[in-house]
Amino acid sequence: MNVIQILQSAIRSILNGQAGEKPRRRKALVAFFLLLFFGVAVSACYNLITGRPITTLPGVSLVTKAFPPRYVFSITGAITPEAVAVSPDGQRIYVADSGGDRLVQVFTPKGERVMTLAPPGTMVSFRLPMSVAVAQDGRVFVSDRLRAAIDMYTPRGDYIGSYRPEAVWDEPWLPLGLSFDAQSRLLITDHREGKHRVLVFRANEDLDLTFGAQGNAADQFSFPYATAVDSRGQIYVSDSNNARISVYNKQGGLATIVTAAAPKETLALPRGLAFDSMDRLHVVDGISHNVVVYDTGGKPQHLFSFGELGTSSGEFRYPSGIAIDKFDRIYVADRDNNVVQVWSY
Amino acid sequence: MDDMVTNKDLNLAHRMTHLPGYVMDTGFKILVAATVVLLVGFGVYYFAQRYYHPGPSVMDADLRQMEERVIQDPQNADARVQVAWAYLDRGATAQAVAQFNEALKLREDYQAAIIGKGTALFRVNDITGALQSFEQVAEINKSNPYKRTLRELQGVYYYLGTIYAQQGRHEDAKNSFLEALDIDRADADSLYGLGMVYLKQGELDDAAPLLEMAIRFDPAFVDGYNGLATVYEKQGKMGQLFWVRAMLSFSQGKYEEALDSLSKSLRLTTDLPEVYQAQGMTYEKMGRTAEALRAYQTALEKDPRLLVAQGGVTRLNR
Repeated sequence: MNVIQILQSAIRSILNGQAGEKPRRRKALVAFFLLLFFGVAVSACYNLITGRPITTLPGVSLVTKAFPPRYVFSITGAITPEAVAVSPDGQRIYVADSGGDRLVQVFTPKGERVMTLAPPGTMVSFRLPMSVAVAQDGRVFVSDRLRAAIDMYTPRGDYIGSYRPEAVWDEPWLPLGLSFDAQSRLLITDHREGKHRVLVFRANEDLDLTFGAQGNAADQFSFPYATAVDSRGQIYVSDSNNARISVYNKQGGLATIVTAAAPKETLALPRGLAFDSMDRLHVVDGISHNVVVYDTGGKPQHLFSFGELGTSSGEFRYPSGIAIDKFDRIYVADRDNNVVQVWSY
Repeated sequence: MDDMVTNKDLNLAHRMTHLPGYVMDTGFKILVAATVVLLVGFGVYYFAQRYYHPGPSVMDADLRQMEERVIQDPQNADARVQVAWAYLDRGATAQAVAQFNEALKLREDYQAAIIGKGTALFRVNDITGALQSFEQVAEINKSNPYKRTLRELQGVYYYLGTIYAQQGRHEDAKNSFLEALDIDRADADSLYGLGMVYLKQGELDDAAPLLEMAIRFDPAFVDGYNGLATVYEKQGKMGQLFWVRAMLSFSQGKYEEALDSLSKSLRLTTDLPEVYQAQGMTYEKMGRTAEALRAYQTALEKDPRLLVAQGGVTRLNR
């Protein structure tokens, strides 16, 4: 009997049963295929309805949490991109260019450019967008390092004005990292000399919380670059020059500090931060040229890192910002490669 | 005749009396088929939706932009040289040479184009063409008082040295490598090239320090270790020879073999800080961090300039 004949015989046996075949074996096969069918059907429905990867299915995620993402493609056309943000519906990608015309370019998820954002009346040499955040209503907020300002735009790209809440009218500030939490509060890192801190503003622009000071003690910052908030409301701050991530509770009290990037490795220069749907924290390490991912279920535990130094697809050169959309697709501003890399779980 | 029972009647009767079994069998087949179709169909859709993106790679997109610039401005020699280097990086040597030639038609003495053309020809083993290009650049810069500051000339002199060495023109090779080292003293390739010329001429005492310096600047330089092995063997310096053999084993991932060679080296000479550094590197690869740290520290006590040992101590002390 050759291989093909053996295979044919096996398939016939499964489908038709053999004479004297025990009913139990047949029932087991039926049960197996039923389970497989419903498993695939449930996964397909989950993916089609939520758009998320099947690795985030409840239960399945316990096993797949440590699976790294895959590189998909790169959005080209950015010029030394410093930061990236995604609209709530995932249909617009905002990239802050620190080179070229120094403006915010807006792309579709496929990488087609649709528009640019720049504060009217400003010249290239007098503006420098460093961070972008998108509110739930689609308004775009951009921090400008040279002008020490935060500019606001409508979802269509029309300039609204400058964001300067009353709490900071009377004092100079240098806003850098911007992010929104689930309650639509805007978190801003301020790195004015002597005042490295985090400010949290409610949707009505009232100051809700402020914490931090300049320095390298536990409760201090040295160039806090970005913030991100997990599903429990804990605030994570990338304390870049102190090479650590500081975690604060909802009241602004220091909860824990993360320095480890992997066994026997520490973070070098943490920059952009983002959470995915499994509450995994993604940290861009600007001079390790990779993204480090933590499980934040309890004390943050390192899961894996992805990316390495280089100029090929899936390699980074001084990456900076990161954003994750509602479909768990990851966008990384790969600064010196002049692209925004797209990765997927 | 009307009462005769046909086969068709028998089949129908059989089915009617065995209906539950028949339905089970058919149903099972349908279930299996549906599962396979669903699995394959969803698998293909899922892969396409999450992992596939049609379009050029980043490198191809960059190349297209460069080609566009040449199309829009064909008289721009700089754009032609840029796209030529991009072709060369992708192994499209013929296209690269064509673009370099076009750039030279626009600007006859455009050094960047001559150097690029020479490099491209060298890569396809057109030694005569490459030599012509590099000698042309060397001639242009013969009396240039600033040639030591021009990094692009470093490669030209290196290639010239390599070609002359291949042709047995040892003195010309030495001069060219020395010119290259004048521009960049830390170029391991030029140090190696010069060292090998001395080795071929039997001048071992001149070859050894050059090859040692080459591997100091590039501790992973396998050719350098091979050259040094020949020198030490001829000089009878067994301690150093075992150290070089250890580094070659290390480069091949044969760490136990490397440790063995290093032990032999230390039995013959304890003055070589590089041996302790090599021990540190090997222990570290094997996960024996305490021993690695001790070895690095010993290396630094003997020579605090060893960069690999410095990095090792910093890493292991975290």
